[in-house]
Amino acid sequence: MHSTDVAIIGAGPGGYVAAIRLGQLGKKVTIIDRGYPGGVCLNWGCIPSKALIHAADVVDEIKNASSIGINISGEPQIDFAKMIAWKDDVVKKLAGGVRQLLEGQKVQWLEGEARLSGAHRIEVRTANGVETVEAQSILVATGAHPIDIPGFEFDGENVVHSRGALAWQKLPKSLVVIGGGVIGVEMGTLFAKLGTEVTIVELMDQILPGTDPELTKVVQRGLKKRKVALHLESKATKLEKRGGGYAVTIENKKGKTEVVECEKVLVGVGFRPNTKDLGLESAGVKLDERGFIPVDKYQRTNVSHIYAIGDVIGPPFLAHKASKEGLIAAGVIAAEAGVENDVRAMPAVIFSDPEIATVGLSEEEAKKAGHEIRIGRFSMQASGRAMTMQSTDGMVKIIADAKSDLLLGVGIVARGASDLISEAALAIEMGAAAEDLALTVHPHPTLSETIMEAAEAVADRAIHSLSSH
Amino acid sequence: MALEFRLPDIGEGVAEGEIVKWLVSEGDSVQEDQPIVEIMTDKATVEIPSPVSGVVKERKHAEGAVVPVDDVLVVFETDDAAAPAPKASAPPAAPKAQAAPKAAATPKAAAAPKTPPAPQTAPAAANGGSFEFRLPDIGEGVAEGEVVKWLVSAGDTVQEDQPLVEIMTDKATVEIPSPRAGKIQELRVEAGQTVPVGDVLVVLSGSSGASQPTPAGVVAEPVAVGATAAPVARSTSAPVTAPSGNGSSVAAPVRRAGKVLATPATRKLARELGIDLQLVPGTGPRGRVTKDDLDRFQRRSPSAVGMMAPTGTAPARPAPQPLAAVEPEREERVPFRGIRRKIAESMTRSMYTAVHFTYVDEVDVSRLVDARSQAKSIAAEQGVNLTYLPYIVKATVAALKKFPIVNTSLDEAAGELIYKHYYHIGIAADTPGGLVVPVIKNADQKSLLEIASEVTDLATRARDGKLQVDEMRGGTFTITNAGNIGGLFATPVINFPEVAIMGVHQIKDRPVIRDGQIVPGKIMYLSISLDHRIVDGAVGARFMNEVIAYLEQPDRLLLEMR
Ligand SMILES: Cc1cc2nc3c(=O)[nH]c(=O)nc-3n(C[C@H](O)[C@H](O)[C@H](O)COP(=O)(O)OP(=O)(O)OC[C@H]3O[C@@H](n4cnc5c(N)ncnc54)[C@H](O)[C@@H]3O)c2cc1C
Repeated sequence: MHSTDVAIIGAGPGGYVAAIRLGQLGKKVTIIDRGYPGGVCLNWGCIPSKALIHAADVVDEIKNASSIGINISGEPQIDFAKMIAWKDDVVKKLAGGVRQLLEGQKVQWLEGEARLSGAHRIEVRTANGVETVEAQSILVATGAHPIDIPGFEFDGENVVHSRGALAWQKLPKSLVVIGGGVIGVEMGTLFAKLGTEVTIVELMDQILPGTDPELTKVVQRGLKKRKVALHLESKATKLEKRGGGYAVTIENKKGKTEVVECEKVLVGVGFRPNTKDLGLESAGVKLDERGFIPVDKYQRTNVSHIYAIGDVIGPPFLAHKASKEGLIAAGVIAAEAGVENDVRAMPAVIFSDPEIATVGLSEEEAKKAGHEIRIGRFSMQASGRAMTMQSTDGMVKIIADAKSDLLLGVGIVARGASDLISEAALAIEMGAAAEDLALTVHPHPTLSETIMEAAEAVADRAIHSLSSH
Repeated sequence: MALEFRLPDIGEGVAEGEIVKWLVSEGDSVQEDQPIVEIMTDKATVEIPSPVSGVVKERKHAEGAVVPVDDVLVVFETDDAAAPAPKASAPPAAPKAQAAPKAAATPKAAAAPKTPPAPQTAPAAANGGSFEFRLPDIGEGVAEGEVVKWLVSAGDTVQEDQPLVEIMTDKATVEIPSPRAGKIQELRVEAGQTVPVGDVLVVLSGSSGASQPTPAGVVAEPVAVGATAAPVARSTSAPVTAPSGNGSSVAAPVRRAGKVLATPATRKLARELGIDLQLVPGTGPRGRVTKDDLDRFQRRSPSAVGMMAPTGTAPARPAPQPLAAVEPEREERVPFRGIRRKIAESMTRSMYTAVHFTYVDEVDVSRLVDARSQAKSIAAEQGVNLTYLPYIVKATVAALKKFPIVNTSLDEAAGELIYKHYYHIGIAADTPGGLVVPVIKNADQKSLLEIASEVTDLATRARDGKLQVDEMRGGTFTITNAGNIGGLFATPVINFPEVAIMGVHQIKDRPVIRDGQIVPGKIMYLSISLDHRIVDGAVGARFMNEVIAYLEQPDRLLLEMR
């Protein structure tokens, strides 16, 4: 048995970031994980998926190169196994980096399955038997796991979630993606770019439900251009083995069914928190009706020395949100002054094609919150830089309060949106007005100019735009 | 020799610390300044360095123990017989996670609180020919004002310089004139609301006929007007006219609703200081609260600082409950605002901050009465009405010089006591609008007659509400003339952040015993309230003895004259 100031369960982007900060603040920390520094995000989430998305983009550019005078004879040859090995290498390097950073702060790494057995006690099943950790404070950062649907149970090889798909050694010829959310769209697009025939089935009337349809329709159009078969307002009702692959029955809202044959099936319909076999009840930690752990603005659960961060406290499921909450929890545990969760702008990015990035309120949310709003839009078609990059699909949409001109939200659908959005996040955190964005000089020629122009458009005075709204 | 080392003062308001970890063991040799123990206080964990080089003989407490400041922490054995006294030599602990470092680092800013004029941003294009007029800078250090009364309504046509609105600041009510001719499009704030300097008060449209373009140059105009303070700040201490008591118009809460505009770093600083951002007037663009605003707020409303629970504890601040009317038809509801509310605020702040103690003594002013009656006619020839007050001012200044501690104020944020080498004596005056305190500046350099005529002038203008803002600030000590109405003596409330206030009471014929005989004497009671945090009782008593000595022997005052 060993005792420590803080025990952290889960070494994802929430847990490991908290561990490092607590180390910096002089706390003795033990971090317990099944063996994956970086958690879902690094091992089978953000990083591996973005690596493969990059690879797919390269293929896409090569295929498109002749349009700008670069002729390549024949189709690009894809060595998928090598691509996967490269991706694994990226993951390995980063995971090693996380371990080093933890060691640098003298954080104790304990590998195994953790379970609380009291308010201050954790039992860890390790390779060498059960070890008990006594901790003054406990930080729960165990993340979430994907849900499957009856009839479509994961088998880890052919019917999979993203984790399984990211480990395939052979590129599937055809793929049915159930769920048109972030995971489904990102993975579906990636495989489509690599040459797989992709079908996406989504229950709602748009892909990426919950995101402004004005932004998602650009992505939807892109998928169609790419010949991805979209079945909106439809559900997958039956899965049968057929030949070497599967037959998926898809039923639309009118009750009409269609059978799509495919080699593999990817199910991305949501996540459930990893709170089930964690022994939280032994410490008296309360869960909400869906099993997530409710916390206050200090990341505290109902038990004041037990904290929770990241996916395990509920959506949105974002790595940077987990990390931010990790820093807050660390500050609170170490009694740093002035620490609390007062984030006003949590950016979210979807690595679709083009990318979608949002921060602050959407148009609909702003109206619901009772704001009288003004909207500034600017199309990528009017951006010189976008044209030089052959990426003119998309737009920037700025939502400002009509009276005060304060920025309420920004949505971008465009190539590079993931990097463009931070400016908007900063602006909202700083309490900027749309006019502040418009008055700030943006370098030319860059995609970032479109944010300035959209901000001008809030006051109906974008320069590179003929139509004001 | 053995040396006891006590837990030093590790920060303002910190009375105790918990021993988190010993960094040395008994028997260890330590160097001076070497960290010996980690102490956790409410706000931060600090490492306490050793005051000496030597050997740790005994650790007086175990890890986890809570040790009051000044309790022995550890005993050292030093070979240096001339080891300095531990307390004096203990370098102040450097908090690892500084609790309120920023505030402490900027006390100097206090000396120059002149806020830069609020930037007048060009009106948004959407406004066309309209012009947003923002609350101008209405005097040094004034960050906000409360709208007492609108003098115009939407739709009115106004002339340049026509008064638009009565704004109440800390100390006076001023009328804000229109920067230009035009039509009132929109009043942006309601009576009762508090407006930060730089916030839009009113939207004016271009003057009738001549269409007014709004290039940036024109926009600068109102700033210039506001910045010249004098013509703008026409003081009117207007009696607050109460709207008919329909009960519907209650004073707007000072606490703003919704999210306060502030950068993440400012928000964090506010939490570190325990300041509720909602209470802080913002002077930045669109009312944004800046770090300077926090600093100013902290200096002006120290009692509001720390109202928010710092990190780790959920803030609990019950909202004020509206009082239900008992017999509504026989009650009248009058908005609580203007001077009355400012008085309420400053009295509350004073009572909750300064630790008041009051001391009363009697003065035999028989000789002063003689002296004054002789001088009175001479003064009258010069057109000056000489009362007793100038003598009391002079006696007070003379005593303040001997007891400089009474002429100080406490800068809590900086942890510094400010000794003032000037003597600005406030005279509390009862006016129809409420209590105001005009200040006689540099009273030490003025003659009795000069003070007498200044008192008369200030008092008259105070009554008429004509005082300038600057005439009511900067006091270092206040005298309140409560006695001319009646009573034996009072317990005056300190004019915070000053540390003392003296109450002067009626001169009455009272029996005194002189040479074993009961004879009629001219007796006056003097009371003084002092801030016991700063001035101890004995010092206060000696200060009073000094004032009394001057008043009983007015000739002595001559020696102080210049
Ligand atoms: C395919 C995919 C792509 C994604 N892309 C992005 C993206 O681009 N951007 C983005 O922001 N987010 C993305 N996400 C989401 C992101 O991965 C998560 O939000 C993030 O990982 C949450 O971090 P966390 O620290 O809360 O938990 P996790 O990363 O889930 O880490 C939890 C850790 O806890 C460990 N653990 C759980 N239970 C126990 C136990 N009982 N004992 C011991 N250890 C335990 C697990 O092994 C795991 O290492 C993606 C997710 C997926 C699946």
